[in-house]
Amino acid sequence: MRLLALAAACAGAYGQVSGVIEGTITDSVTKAGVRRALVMINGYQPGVQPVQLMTDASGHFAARGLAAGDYTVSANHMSYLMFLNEAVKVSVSAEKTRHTVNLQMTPGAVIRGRVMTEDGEPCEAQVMAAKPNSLPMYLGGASTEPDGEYTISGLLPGRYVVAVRPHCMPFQPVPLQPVKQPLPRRRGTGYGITFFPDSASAGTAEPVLVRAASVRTDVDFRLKAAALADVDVAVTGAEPGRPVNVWVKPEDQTGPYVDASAGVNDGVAQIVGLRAGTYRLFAAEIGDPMTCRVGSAPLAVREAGLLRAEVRLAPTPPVRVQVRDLEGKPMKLGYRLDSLNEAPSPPPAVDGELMRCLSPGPWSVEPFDMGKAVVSVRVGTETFRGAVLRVPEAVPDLMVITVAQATSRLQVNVDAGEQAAKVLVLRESEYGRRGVWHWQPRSSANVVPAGRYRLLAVPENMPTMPGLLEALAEMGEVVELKDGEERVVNLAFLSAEKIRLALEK
Amino acid sequence: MVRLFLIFTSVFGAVLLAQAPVVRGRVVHAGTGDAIAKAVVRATTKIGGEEYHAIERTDGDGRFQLQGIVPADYLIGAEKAGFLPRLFGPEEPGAPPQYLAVKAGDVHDIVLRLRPMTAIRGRVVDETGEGVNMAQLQLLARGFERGKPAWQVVREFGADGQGQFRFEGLMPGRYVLAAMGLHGMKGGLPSDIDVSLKPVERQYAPAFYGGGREPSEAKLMEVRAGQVLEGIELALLPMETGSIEMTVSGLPSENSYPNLSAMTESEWVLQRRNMTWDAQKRVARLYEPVLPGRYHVVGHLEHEGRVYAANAVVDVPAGGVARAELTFAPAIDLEGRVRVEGPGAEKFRDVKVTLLPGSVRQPIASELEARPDKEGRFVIRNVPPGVWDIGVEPIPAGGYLKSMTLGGADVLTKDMVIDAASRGPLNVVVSTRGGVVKGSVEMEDKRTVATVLLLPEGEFAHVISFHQGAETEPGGGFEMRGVTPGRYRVYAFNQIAPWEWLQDGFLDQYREMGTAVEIGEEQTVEANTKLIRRGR
Repeated sequence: MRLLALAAACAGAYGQVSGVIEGTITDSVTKAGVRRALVMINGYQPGVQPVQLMTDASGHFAARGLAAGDYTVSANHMSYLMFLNEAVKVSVSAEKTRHTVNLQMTPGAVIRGRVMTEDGEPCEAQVMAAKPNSLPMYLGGASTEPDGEYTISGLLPGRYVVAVRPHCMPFQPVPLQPVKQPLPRRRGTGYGITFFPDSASAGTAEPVLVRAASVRTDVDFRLKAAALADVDVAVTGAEPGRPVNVWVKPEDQTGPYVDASAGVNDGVAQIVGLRAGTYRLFAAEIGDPMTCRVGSAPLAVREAGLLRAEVRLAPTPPVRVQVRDLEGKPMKLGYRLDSLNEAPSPPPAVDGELMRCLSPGPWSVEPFDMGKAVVSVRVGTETFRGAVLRVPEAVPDLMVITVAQATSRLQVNVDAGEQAAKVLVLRESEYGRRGVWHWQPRSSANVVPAGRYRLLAVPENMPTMPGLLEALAEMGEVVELKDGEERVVNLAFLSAEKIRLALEK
Repeated sequence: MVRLFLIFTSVFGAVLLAQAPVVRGRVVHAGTGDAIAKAVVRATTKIGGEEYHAIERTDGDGRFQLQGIVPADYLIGAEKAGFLPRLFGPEEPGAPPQYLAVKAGDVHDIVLRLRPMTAIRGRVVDETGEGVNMAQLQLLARGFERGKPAWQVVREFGADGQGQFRFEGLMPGRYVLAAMGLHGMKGGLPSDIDVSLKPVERQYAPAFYGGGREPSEAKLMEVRAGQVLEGIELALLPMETGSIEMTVSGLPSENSYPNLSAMTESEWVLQRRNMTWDAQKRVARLYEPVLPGRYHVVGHLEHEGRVYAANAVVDVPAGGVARAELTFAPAIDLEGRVRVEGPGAEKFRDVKVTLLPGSVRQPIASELEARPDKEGRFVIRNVPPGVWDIGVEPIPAGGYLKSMTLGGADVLTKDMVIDAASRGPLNVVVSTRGGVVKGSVEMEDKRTVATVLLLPEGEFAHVISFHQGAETEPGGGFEMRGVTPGRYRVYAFNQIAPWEWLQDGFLDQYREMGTAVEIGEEQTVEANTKLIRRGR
């Protein structure tokens, strides 16, 4: 008898059961079943293939013949937001072969409208939608059709700042003149970046509210010609014939980038339609990744008309970057280097020693392994404590990143019920949030460097796109860790429904 | 004295005013005759060899008057959102535009009739007849790529939640309409499944309006000016998928980690699928299954400054796995020299040599370039295998590319195919002594703007870079400079679409109406020809 029980247990362990996972997918707003939703059942034991199904007219699905083991069930539908889809964990065993999984999906919202000039002509433009607290990260965008109409779909419900970047100009008659002679500009007027309904800045824009599954069709722009500056940016220091990207960004980071990459001609890039304000110009040579000629310059626009500015590209020879431990031994460690003054950053490195292109200015280092702390960074002859460094004007040929095992420990417990959850760990610094780690909630502690963190427990299959992360970050719990400190945090789970309600406020 | 000056200026001004020509008119809807307000009217002309323009906009009655007009021959056009742009000329459809000859004291009152653009609207449904949310649509038209006929995507649209789509503001023409699900979108899945029975995976295959699996099998949709095709429906059907597994060799080191992907071969749309790399088994596999068909598997990596690349073609079967070998080979460094010869050659030392991929399905489909040194020598590093087009610029005004050879073989009139065994040098000769062809087109109305083509004959007829085109000046004259020496035929058409003459058999019907010419280096040849009238 005892032998029989043992045999039955082994059979269960090796998948000799025929499990069933069934359930219904419903719309979180209407509570109706969702027809033709894609249901994905992923098993984690060797040899188990993922299963995909499509719900019937009532939103029902059933997968039979499943082997024993752990599964994650999630659903997807193009009309619903992937960001907010739930996932549930189930365990098929000889003791429990049948599971019912009911999931909710949040329908996406749509913003639609027209972009017209003040005299009723359709304007070619790009339209972008951002959560007010996530600027300048845009969550959705669209180009206008020939009749000026645009549609931004697949949006989270909630309030949006909607911005339009017009590519049209106010009409201006031209009496007969040579084609090569510049047009006698209606000096200093044009259509600038406009926030709905007709504001020059994001701060005074009227947010557009869209509810789940709703379509706002009245987000129309009637562009008004305004006093604007066009800027001729002289780009110097580029290798002859090499293409250069030039772009400008508002200093307060509340507006979209304006680029003039297409306009670089004979060393001059023209950026058109800037309103009064303070900006920063950037330029980077495109092509050979080891040449790295980049530059930036402040730009103050006080009056309309044609302004001139200059960006000098500095040839920045590649720097040999080494990662070493406390004893000075070389080690392999993946890391990323980010420019803190928005200069182009090199791709992340996954090796111990590499040649990188680093322009002069402040940079931060972020190891991929969160258990490693950056102790110091030696750049040429200068040593910086911590993970922030400054590359001098005379770029040295060697940078040494010294890392140590982190000493603080953080344990995050999440009670998500049957929901599959993940923990987002955002490291914060005076330079903003530089890193995001995805943790599985677990009982053992993770080793992390001392610092300030923001923690969020969200559905496991929620993608962490930048705009969404910025919008959600304020809902996270803040934890400050000192060197050697151990902390256990019991984190509330933010279900898809909680996130949806929070974003809809 | 002041009084005398005033009298003089007023008299002179009055004479000028009396002689100042006037070009004015109306822009109206070609079908209804209704005035079109805020249409932009543009006049262009050449004065003393320099191009001039004047731009105006119509008022609420569709009226305009161009400012600053002086006696000259003008091309006058009007454009407005939602309408086809139009140049002044005869009213009949397809007729070529005409110059408007403006003399001192003339008053021209012209009417420009604009025809509305077209639109195609409809819905994409699945096998159950339900609208496919966010289906992707492409509108294709027949065009030419590297001198060969090809289907080109002219517009794209993402359908809404109900599969509805609309292409507004289209030029009249012939189109093929294709729809597809988003990348890897599953189709035909059951709601109730027994996984122990190993279910089949399906994806939505691209669908063409009117059926077929390729654009050439689809229904050609002809839309005329002002026509709106509504209620167009395309059905996406699920198709069983397959996969790819490649055994990889030729990698430069044990730790090499190649970038691998598979691309559809279909001429009309490029879809790229990434592959995973199993370093232990030296095998590359697709992340996700794909629709059956022919794929190009390409790979590349960089090792110690050297690029390695690979390319193989596989046929993916429905429900099966295509298995093949993928062998990496090092890219080559291509040495070469540019020589500019002829009068003034010393001014053209700062040239650039660019290699452009002949296909986007090459392992590395991006430009490579080099700038020759003072002796004209250059090295283009890491040229992967494939067909590469050679660009040399600037070519001196009136000059031409005289020869290009790779290891002594002609690559000016033939494709340059690079493989691991290819050896340079790539020698380029640019001459400042191109030929000149000038002449006149014999036609009833010398104001007509005709298109003149200079097309090579004989063994170089296929060399697209030898083809030249020009529009007639007022009076029917034309001139083309920088002509590569050789045998040509000159044709003048009242209307012809870009590259239309490359269609199989097109020129056969007009050959006798063209004028044969033979042009030598630095030679000026006169070639008068008759207008070939088409479209009536």
